[in-house]
Amino acid sequence: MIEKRRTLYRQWVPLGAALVLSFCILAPAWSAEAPKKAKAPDIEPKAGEVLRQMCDYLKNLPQFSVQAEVTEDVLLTSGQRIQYARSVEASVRRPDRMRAESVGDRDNRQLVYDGKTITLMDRSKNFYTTITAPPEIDAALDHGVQAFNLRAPLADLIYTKSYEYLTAGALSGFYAGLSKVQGVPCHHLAFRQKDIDWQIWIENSPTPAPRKFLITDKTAQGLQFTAVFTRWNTSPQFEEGLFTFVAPEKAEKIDILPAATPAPPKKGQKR
Amino acid sequence: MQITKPKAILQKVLPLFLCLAMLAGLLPVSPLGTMLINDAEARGAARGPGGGAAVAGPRGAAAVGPRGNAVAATPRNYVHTGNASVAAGPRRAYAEGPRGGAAYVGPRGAAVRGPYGGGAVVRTMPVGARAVAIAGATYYVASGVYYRPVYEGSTVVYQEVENPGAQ
Repeated sequence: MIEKRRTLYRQWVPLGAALVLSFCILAPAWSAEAPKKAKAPDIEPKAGEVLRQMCDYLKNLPQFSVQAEVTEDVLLTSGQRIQYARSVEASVRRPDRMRAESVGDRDNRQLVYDGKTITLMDRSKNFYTTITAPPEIDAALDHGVQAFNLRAPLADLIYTKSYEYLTAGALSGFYAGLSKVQGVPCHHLAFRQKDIDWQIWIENSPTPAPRKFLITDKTAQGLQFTAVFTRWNTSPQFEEGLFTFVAPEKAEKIDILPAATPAPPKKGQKR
Repeated sequence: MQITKPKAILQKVLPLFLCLAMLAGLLPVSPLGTMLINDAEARGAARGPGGGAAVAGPRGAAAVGPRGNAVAATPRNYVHTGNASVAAGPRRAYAEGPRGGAAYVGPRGAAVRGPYGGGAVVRTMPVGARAVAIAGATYYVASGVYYRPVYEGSTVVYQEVENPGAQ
């Protein structure tokens, strides 16, 4: 009887040990997927302060227009990386008027928000579409992005809550020093997020406007998006009708596809 | 020692078999199997700029759309019409991505299923497409396939439709 029990032990114990061992080795593969606890962003006080000054400054501008030269890396299917450029002019009158024009290598587009609707126009193809929108810029942009996946170039800077939005997804940020953008002395700030790194150059003056904005996409082989703000006008004389869309002759109105899954609102990392 | 007796089989062979089966993924709980599958998926799925994916899977099969929804079957020799570019800003999308599953064109210029339940969406028309006006609206025809222009996000794309002139 004792002999038999010994045999049993001899057979089962190593197997049991092997089982336990294999679990110990492989179990971490399961738990690796578990979400990590969100940490407070590690933003250097001076970087946070300069960024907040810029956001407060922009937020309190009742109206402005700005021109930007935008360059954008594109990865061809061959793997070759090239750069496209476009000029963007945005006009904003808070709280409910906005217009953006983008003319570049690949597009000639327009966005007009009149407080009730957002109209997108593709001038090279002569098509446009209109969606109804809430009566305020922030809500209208959110609606366009969430319900229709609109891309809103540089909208991060137009929002009245831009500081909260910009820092929401930040893991860290630091003050990189003084720098010049097109001869204008600027503070240079650098931030990290999960999928992107971004840098901003903010004018070192009583009018702390952004002068340059650079995004590096870490998920797409380090492709970069750069916007250099060439002209800020904080007291523009907007023409009557600038914020009203008038369809050009022969332009055709087409549908817009709804976003397949609405993006969850107010999350730093969502797109 | 002989293992012809049932008891001996139970004692020696069964545990060994169970152990191997679990490791090999034959049982529901299979750490190794899970790892292998995850690894295969990871290798198969290059991430698209929209955080989604735009890829052929391990056997050239599955492509997942940018918002995690569209699954287009990619035929052999598919042509990917989009180019990846910077897709994210600090808070939201910035630039154009290929929009994942929406941008596959089959070998004969025919598009594969798109993310909207309706026809496939392509960013550029196949070579040789011509514009036709039907009931006051513009359509494009290529190789007998009809497309309508439609906005997807901020971009005009082309969605495959049934022949709008057919009764």
